[in-house]
Amino acid sequence: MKKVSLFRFGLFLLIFIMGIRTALSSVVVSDEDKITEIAKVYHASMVYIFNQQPLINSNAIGKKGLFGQSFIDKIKESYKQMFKQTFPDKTEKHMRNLLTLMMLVMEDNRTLLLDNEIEFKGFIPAVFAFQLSQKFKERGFGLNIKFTNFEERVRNKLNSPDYWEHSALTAIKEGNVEEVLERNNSFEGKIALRYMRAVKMKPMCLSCHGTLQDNPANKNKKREQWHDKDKTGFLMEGWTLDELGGGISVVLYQRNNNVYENK
Amino acid sequence: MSFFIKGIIMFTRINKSASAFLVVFLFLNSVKASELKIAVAEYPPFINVENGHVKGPVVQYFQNIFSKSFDKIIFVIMPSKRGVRELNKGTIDLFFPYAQHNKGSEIIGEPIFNVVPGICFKKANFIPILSAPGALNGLNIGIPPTLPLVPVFSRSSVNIKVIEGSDVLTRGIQLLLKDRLDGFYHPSPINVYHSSNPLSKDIACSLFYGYSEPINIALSAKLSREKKDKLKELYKAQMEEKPYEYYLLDLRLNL
Repeated sequence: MKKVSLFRFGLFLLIFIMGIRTALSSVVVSDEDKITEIAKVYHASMVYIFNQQPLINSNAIGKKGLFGQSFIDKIKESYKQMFKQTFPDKTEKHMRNLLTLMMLVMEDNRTLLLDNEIEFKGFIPAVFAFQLSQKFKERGFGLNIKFTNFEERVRNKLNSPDYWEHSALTAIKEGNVEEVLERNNSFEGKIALRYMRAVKMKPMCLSCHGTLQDNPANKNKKREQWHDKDKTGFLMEGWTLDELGGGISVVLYQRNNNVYENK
Repeated sequence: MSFFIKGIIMFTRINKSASAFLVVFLFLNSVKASELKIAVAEYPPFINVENGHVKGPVVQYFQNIFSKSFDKIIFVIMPSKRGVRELNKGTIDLFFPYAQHNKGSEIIGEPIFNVVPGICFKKANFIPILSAPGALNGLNIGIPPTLPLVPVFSRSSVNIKVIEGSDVLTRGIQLLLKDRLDGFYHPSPINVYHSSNPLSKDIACSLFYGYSEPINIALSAKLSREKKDKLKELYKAQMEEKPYEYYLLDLRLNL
């Protein structure tokens, strides 16, 4: 009799614990958490694209990791390594769109990425990030994402910051903080939740944005023979390790929430 | 005629189930007998013409959308200018691809996708980042006469060669292959630089991201209000369920 009660109690406990776990996992993720996760995944994808430059610019056959689900799996790995966290819920609407559009960007570039006759393809993190941003802009999913910097520091003027982004970058730089988040701000006439995440200069960034000494093309060359442009053709800025290299700006807005139209 | 109607009335009086069948048959016939005529211009890799037949993912996407409400979907091939003329006459119901700069015709809804302009080069002369300062300086770049120039052109010292003629895009690529141009400014390089085009062995294209142009489906002005609304409703529902780009991604990745 006692054995049966103990078994029942054990079973009850097991079901109870499983129920609690399910309930906890299905807790609604706040918009603040969503926007932070989106910025982090975007950041992780840029780092992955950087790390894959040798593969991208090679004529290797094994480029499977650049496309489809394999690409997303690699980004998940990159995310886990960078943030020491489990990958966010990929079924959430904005996250699902982000991952799908990432695959789409890679597909759009498939011909180039598999073109063995082109040595340097120019598919650098900033180009990937910009194309991804454009996809969101074109579709108007209620989410916009952009890799930006102070006006005088952006290479592509289309990435110039708007007023809020400039203020957020200033706050990050002067306050030495990692992120800025603001509710009830505006974006193109709509009420929006806005977020800016700092991107600090890492060793990988220096080969293009660092000093002339950091340029791999100048290695083993005399100083008077050094190039002042990086491999993309832009003048190297001379930035240094750990300084602010830019910010990932994410906007969440209601598609049909136009302030003036509602009035 | 009256004899025919009298016959039907008599027949239905005799057999009530037959009359019910007749009503259902006539109703279904009136709905199912609808026809949709879609004109398309060749637009690889989205629409290809092989042996006089149109193929490609856009054709399949249209079939999926419109076969839900139309009994018969007819595809006809025609160049863009004629397509717009026929839309105005009402001899076709829809036309694809309809670029923003055409203007004048009503469109079915949001753009089906966007294309990005760019410059095509012979592979040995490929320039990956077009916005790099001075990247285009001194180059002879062919341009189609009606295509607006992106701002990079005004920041560079480019020798512009306007290509004239009836088939400007083909001619521009030919001049490029003959080394009479260093680059050719194309409104939609994806039409030429894609894996199924043999030309991709010789040329590669670099794009001006940020200057994309929406590609639409145009509606005939002569369509009835009812048919127009139906087409818009079907298209909107499909784009919300699965936008064309997502559909294309599934096709490519065989998901």
